[in-house]
Amino acid sequence: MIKNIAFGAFLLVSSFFFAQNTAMTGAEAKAFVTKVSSETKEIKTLQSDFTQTKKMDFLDKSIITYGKMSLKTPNILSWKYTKPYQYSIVFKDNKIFINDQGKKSSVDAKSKTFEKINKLIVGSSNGKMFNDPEFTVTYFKNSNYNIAKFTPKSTQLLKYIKQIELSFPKNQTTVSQVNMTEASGDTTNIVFKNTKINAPIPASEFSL
Amino acid sequence: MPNSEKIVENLYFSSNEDYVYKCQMDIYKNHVSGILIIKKINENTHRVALTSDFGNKLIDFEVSDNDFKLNYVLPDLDKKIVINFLKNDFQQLLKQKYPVSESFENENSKIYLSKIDKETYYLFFNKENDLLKQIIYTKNNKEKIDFTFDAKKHIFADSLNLQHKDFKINIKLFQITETE
Repeated sequence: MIKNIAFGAFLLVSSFFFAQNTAMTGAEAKAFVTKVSSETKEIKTLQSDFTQTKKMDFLDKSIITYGKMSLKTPNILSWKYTKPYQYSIVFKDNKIFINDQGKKSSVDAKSKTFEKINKLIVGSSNGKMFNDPEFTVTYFKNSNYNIAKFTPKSTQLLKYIKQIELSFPKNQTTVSQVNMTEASGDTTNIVFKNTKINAPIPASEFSL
Repeated sequence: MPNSEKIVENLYFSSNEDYVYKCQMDIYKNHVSGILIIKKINENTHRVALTSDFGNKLIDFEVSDNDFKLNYVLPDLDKKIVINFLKNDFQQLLKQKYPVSESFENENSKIYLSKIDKETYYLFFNKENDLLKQIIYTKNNKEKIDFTFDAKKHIFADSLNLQHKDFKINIKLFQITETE
């Protein structure tokens, strides 16, 4: 009896620390994917401010950068860092345009890293990423968020990234937070704020 | 007695704090952009990590005058020539103590010459504020790398430019203080 109470107390206490996320059932996951996929079909444009926090085990402090993201479906994306330095990248017409503190360049959209970033961001706005054959997806929930965890299937891709976690607020079908864990265990967290759906975006936003 | 020092130092990476820089590298026709982190982890060793602007790590190594340990490299960058360049460049950049062989001065600078085996370094210190402005690294009497610093204090450079003289390699760093 005492043992059971102690065990119960242990479960209760540990639930404060560990058990925030519970796995969705198959039916819940299916409903979630269906809802996100159908609602994101209505998205024509998406704009959001973001805060990116990079953590590395040997650093005392996190590295924080700020910026703005604009997306026009099906596949025009602008990703701009505005603080503490200026760096912009635009994906358009299968090309990548970069403005690195005034230094402009463009490349064909063949770079693996850029391609993945583009796919991930565009994919998470249109719900297509749930069907990406390169990842195994598992679904979790807590009181505030639905969470999709993406794990690469190939060892090749695992060298780049161990896991990508997308958090969707319960009442929202767009991602509010991305957590990426690298092979080394370092993490990058991106939080989206002031998200606007289907508001007009001036064309200048996508030219550098 | 302005030039009586026996040893001069590059103190720009000597603190134990995180040094965080926006980084632009041009290696021949390739432009690499990202964030460079340098941290002194013990008396002789620095840890150096470069991430892309998106945060993913490109390379991570530990370097001292005589040692080099690679912790991680992105498969795309895993080329001996790239790693050797970075190893050599950062070994030079993070070298702290230079025994003085000779010293001179010109209108703006005190200049110290330091000879270590076949390698010779010229260190230029601004006369007005005593800050290290430039290091020219030469080997077998040929100019190899030119390091130029902009700084307001001796333990921290606001920006730096590393220019290879015999290869088309250039590294530019700009300080970004937005850390938490």
